[in-house]
Amino acid sequence: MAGNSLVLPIVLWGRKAPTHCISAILLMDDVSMIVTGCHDGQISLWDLSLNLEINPRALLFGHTASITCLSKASASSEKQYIVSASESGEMCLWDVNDGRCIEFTKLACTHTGIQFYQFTVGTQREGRLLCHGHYPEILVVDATSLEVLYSLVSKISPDWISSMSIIRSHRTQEDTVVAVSVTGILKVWIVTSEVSRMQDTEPVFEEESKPIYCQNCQSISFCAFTQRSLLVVCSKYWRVFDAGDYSLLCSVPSENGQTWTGGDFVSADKVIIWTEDGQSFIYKLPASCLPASDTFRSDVGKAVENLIPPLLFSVLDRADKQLLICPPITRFFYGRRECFHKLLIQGDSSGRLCIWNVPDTLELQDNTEGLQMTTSTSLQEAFCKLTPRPAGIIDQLSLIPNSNEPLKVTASVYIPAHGRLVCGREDGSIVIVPATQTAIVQLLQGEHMLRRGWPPHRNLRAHRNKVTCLLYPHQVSSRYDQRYLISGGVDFSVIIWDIFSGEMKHIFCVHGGEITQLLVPPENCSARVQHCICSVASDHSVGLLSLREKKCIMLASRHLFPIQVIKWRPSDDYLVVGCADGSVYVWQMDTGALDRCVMGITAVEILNACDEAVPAAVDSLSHSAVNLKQAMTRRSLAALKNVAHQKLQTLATNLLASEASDKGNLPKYSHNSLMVQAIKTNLTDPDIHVLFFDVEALIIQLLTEEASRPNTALISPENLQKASGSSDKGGSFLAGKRAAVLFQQVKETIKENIKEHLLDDEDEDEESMRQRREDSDPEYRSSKSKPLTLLEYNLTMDTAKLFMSCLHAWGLNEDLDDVCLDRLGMLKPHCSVSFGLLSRGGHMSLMLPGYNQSIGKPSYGSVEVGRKMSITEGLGRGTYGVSRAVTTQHLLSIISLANTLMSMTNATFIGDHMKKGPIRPPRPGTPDLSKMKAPPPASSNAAQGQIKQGKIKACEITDVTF
Amino acid sequence: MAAAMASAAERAVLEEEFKWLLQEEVHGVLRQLQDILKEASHRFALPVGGTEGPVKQENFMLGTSSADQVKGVLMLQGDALCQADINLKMPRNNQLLHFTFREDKQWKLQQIQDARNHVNQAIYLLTNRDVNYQFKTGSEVLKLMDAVMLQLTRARNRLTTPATLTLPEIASSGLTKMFTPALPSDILVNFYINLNKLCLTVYQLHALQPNSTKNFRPTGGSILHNPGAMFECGNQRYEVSHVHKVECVVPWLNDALVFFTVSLQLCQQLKDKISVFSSYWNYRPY
Repeated sequence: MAGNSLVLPIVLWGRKAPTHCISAILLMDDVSMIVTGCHDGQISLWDLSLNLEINPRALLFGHTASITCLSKASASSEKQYIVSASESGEMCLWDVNDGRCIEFTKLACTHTGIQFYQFTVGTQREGRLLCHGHYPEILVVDATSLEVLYSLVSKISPDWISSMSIIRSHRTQEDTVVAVSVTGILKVWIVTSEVSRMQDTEPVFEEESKPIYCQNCQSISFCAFTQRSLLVVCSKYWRVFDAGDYSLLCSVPSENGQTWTGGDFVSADKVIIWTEDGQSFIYKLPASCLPASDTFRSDVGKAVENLIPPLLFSVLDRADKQLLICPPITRFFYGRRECFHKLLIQGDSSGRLCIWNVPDTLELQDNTEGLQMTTSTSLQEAFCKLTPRPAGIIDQLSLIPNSNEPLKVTASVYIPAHGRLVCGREDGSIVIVPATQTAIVQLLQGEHMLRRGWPPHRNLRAHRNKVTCLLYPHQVSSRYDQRYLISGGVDFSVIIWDIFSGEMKHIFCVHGGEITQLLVPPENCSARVQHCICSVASDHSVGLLSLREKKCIMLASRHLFPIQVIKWRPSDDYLVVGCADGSVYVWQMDTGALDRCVMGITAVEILNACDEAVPAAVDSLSHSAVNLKQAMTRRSLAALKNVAHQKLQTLATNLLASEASDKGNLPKYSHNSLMVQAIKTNLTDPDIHVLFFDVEALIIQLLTEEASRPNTALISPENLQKASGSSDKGGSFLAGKRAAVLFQQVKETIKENIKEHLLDDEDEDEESMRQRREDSDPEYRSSKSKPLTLLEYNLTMDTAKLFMSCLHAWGLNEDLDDVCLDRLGMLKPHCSVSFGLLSRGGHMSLMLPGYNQSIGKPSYGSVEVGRKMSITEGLGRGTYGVSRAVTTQHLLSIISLANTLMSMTNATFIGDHMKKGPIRPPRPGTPDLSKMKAPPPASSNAAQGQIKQGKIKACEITDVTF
Repeated sequence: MAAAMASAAERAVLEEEFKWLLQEEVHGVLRQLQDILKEASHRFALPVGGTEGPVKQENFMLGTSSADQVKGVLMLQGDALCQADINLKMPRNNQLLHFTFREDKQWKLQQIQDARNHVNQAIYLLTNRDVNYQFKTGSEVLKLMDAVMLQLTRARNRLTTPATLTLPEIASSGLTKMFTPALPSDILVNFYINLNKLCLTVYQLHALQPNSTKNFRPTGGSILHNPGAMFECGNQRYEVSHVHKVECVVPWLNDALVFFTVSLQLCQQLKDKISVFSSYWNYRPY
């Protein structure tokens, strides 16, 4: 089922904003958006309003290492593409309008700088990215495919390029790339005319190579105002050069041991230079550096070091002296949006962005005052100013008496088979809670808000401090007892729990450090190891803990470096431990003996060999983003390939096609309509929970349940006819052809499912059915064992209810809203729900809470947005208008789900246990429920008609924008 | 671990200790690191900052004790091989071939340059954090250590894991054009650094007939290709018939590797020390 499944993420951020230690900044040319990259590999998009207010909009996931640089990747104002590069050599092309990943690639080397440049090929302008980094060339990369086309190489003393600038000269009509190598040699390449396609692979050699003796060059920039000078900033001095012959015009040393990290021209005669600790200074250039002045170049060749520093103009200092854990990143940008903006933007380790609007007329100021900051905000600040505060998945259960902040969730695991989410918290307690119900509490308004301690949950207490990891082994392999839940904590202990009874079964205290990871050995290990789980601790030790024998059968310790990866070689009985420094330790699992310890090529080869043997057992512990990526691939959520941006029709047909091709596999269908994945952007952060709704799976589950609702004896071909008949009737409501296509498909699924169900039932006798019911029913179970205090509920309907309530465009049509609330039992969200968008290769964008806070989203579709705003009349409830891709996915989901629900006999969400009181919840599927079914079929049909009409209206409205 | 249970007195002592760690111990380690890394950087013996100093030229004899089919004398100047002298005894006819670098050519060993640049970056990260700098939080130290360790790991990995090249890549690398007399078309050479050794591999090829019945399967990238490896280059298919690998220990590379390893361990130990306290300050940034 790895095909084009429609999966929608909804994210519960919690009150604490994700760590965003900024490592790169980019301002879009139209001054509408700031893009920042962070040390943990996420990219944040910040909307910038006309009066320079900042509001964070979305976080993009996909990189596995620190972002090293960002650059625009398209020139046309139609597209807003950016490219990002990471420390691990990944490069990714994003559409920043909707956070979609368009292309990605990985090279062996790290890029430290990228610049966009347009080449002319014939009559066409083609975008190219010029990249430099930890390699001696400048790579020319195609801006759409990210393929390396050719390189600019040096003949004379080639070395890494530390910074680069593209000079566009109108005088000579020649564009040149000027770069400074790490050894301080200035290199010049001419790039004006694209080399013809034939020679594309041939390297281009430098035109000029001149030592300028610039140690630790931080930045090089070209004066766009005069086009005659170059500014080179080194860590201890900055220099101005003539852009014509690269002769030194002036050189200014730094004072008080400050370290410069960059600079740029503010105007023809002023430069701005910033320091490592976040201060910026504007200097007036001496006359000898100004082409307009008579004394231009008068100092050339005289003193290499001008000792008179040009006039200090003003100081821009950081507003708050908040503790920073690494130097802030500062950049200067100009851009045009209504008026010309010159902005100095700084991003720091606390995820704070500060903007200074640099005025054109800078007068000599009192040095103590400096230029006032225009705006400043941080992710955390944006989170804090929201009411209600961004919800965490179990916030209502985590409130502690004398504190405003709920307990943080530090580890979580979702058990899809039971629909339960297990959360470990910072106080050492573990909460087991039904995932959909807790999500409903957090996202939607309803009666449940009045109930204390809702939803029913179970608390497990034994850890003395933060729970760091959780594992439900049965989910990974059925060989484990399904009662067992394993938890690890900062108290060095690993605990086995019985999730049904809530008992603590065993506590292992074998490690000498916090438990960082719990893993499951692969299938083909020895019988003894098969019943173990593998625990990794921060004292660099690995343990094999037998759940059956309740003892540690092997402890591999004495690794010098943190453990980065655990691999298995079951055929040789080897446990392979990869450490952070690249060393590999091979342990014999049976005897616990260290077989060997290797480095270098051999280590790489051993790790690779393990991959070939057991591809599934790869578990990288290094980074949460990697984990997320792997998790998503494993559950095949990520395989969604560019579907989102295609037209609705094609999408519908794609869905159909994938459905059709997967029909053969339906009996094995193991997808869950809801997956809850916890992610951490940084290891020290609390968990963020992403709910992945698989629309297809949800529809199939609804239909399967629908088919099983009447007594099994009643399922017959007639019934089947009836079912499809009723859906045909429903189809007449639809005017649009697309919807009809979809409907046809839904019908197909019904048939398929009923067929499948019939087949299933043939195999199972009445006894096993009863058994199953008993298993899932607390009242039955209570007579046998200590019950899990969770109430029975209809998982699928709850999931559908949650999903529909989040997706519905509240506020578009009041009548429709009333129908949804009263008749259909849908609930209004507390505030706008943060959706996400999955794109190629496990890349994902998640909207931040309050993404729609700033009024008048500054985007190219401002006309479009304006129109939509007028329709929604500022209610802003709907997610429509966020982006095309998201809207398409949402409409598709809502239409197909609404159709499915309509075809069902019990199509409203009313009648669930919330109405009936908590003591005796009705069991869906039992006869008494069908009697109690609240609305008469006729009115419910009408209501469904209404909702359908509403949906069509909604989709027409949005269609206009396509 | 036991932050909640620690008594007030215990906490005070811990806080004192942590303060000492940040103010004294960290700087001690950083100074030590700088010394070691500077020492490592010196080993690379390169002209610094474009100021031309005399760079030492070293000769290395590459050979094996068992077979004397290939012998090489290489002259290494910093990161470049400035002279090479290769003697090759053809196994078929015992013919002796002799090649040297052309006068105007040098072969840069990118691995050495990369390793040196990474070390210099690590040193640069440390220079601004001298005794006068006050560390205020543990995370600050961790962040710095992470950055330094990344550079050091990269530096070491550049030397310990040579690039995996495919045979066509070796054939088109430009190394073949460096020699006088020109290398015959059935011989490929490659130089690289593996750990502390300077390595030379010579591949003897034989051309596969176009109508050859042999199952042609081009081999992928590898550090050392085995006899039997096949590839296609310029419409001609070749198979590797003999592989000769000779190497020689470069003493200063060995030193550099030891320095990298020691400094990495120092960094990790410092990180571990800081992390111990992290759990005591669970409720606020430590």
